[in-house]
Amino acid sequence: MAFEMSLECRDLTVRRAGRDVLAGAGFMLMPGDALMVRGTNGSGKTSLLRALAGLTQSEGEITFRRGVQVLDPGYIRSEEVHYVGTQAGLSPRLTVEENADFLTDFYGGALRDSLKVLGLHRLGQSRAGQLSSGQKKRLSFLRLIVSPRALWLLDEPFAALDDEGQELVRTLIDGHRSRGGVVIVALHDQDGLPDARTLTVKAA
Amino acid sequence: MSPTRALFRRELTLRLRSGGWAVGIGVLLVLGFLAPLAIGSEKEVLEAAGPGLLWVILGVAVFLGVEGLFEDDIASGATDLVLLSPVSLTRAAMMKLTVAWAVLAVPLMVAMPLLLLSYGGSLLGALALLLASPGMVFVAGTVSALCTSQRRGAPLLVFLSLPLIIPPLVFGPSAGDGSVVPFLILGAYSLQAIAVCPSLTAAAIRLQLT
Repeated sequence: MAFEMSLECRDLTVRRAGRDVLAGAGFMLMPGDALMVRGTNGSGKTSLLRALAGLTQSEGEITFRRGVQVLDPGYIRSEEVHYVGTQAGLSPRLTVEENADFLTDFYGGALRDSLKVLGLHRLGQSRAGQLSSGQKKRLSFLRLIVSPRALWLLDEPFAALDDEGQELVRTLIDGHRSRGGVVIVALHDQDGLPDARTLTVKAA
Repeated sequence: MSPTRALFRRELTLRLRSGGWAVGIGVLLVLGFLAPLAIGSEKEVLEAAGPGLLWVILGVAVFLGVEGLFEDDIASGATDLVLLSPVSLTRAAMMKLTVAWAVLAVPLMVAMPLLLLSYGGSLLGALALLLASPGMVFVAGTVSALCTSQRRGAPLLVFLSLPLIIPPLVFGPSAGDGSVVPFLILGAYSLQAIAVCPSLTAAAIRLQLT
């Protein structure tokens, strides 16, 4: 399947407690595009991702389009957006398999050998709370595999991952882009995606 | 499986596994059986004071049972999953409160007749509890969502919720006096709570996220 969604963002501003944490961000992404959001700690990278996902209130214009047709943001956010934050909605008290089954059922996808792809198939019976931070990070990417959605918003996807894990994320992102998906990643270090555009945000 | 059912199953597993069900029945049994030490064990005193006392204890048991109900989901980002899905937050809150009620009320329903019998009260009190408990859990759950991420959330929850469970406190103990009115009022109390609380809870959760 191929995605055909494009995303335009103009003059996006996020306020928290009366202070701008992000001011006037703007970009345009076509199907298959990737954007790296860079900036120091506290410069509003996470706020930008959460605002795009509609999880934080923001001002400015966010437009989702298929071709020239403007799409309803409420519908897009409920069906076509994956947000993988630093806290990825995993339940520490459930085992890896139970978490995986939940996510699969919740998104109506198929698990198949997703855990193996993520290198977690030997940890099925471990509680998610006992995993290392890199393993938790891997598990948080499960939704990207089981449920195809057009827009991926990834907050620090390379953090805590070993080389193999980082390679895995790059493979996932490349695959997604080749299907016409749009990826926005927030990064603070030198890791990067080849041929992705960069948006630098500064603390307002 | 639909997203709501997946959420339901996850919630039930988590509630059972975290031992939340033991809090309510534990508080009720311990306080219920200790109270006669303080008020004296004469039959007349226990019969007169028993039902009223038990309902106050029930209130506290429910409050402590739902304390921090939404804390984990908000902190772990599970609420974000719901917001980025076709499931509305109100529906998710409704489901969560229902699971909290089932996990909390079933053990209470087991313990209540025991205590009523030992106090010499009418067993109809257990039926009154069945009718009133959804309302008490839903109301306390809504306040719990508002108290999320407050330090000392439990005392705050008790203070804020106590006035809201006045109807069960007034009419619960008089169940079994031969009138049907208390049962009707307790049923109505629960029905209005089920109608109103899920959307209020969803609003409270949204408030926590901003």
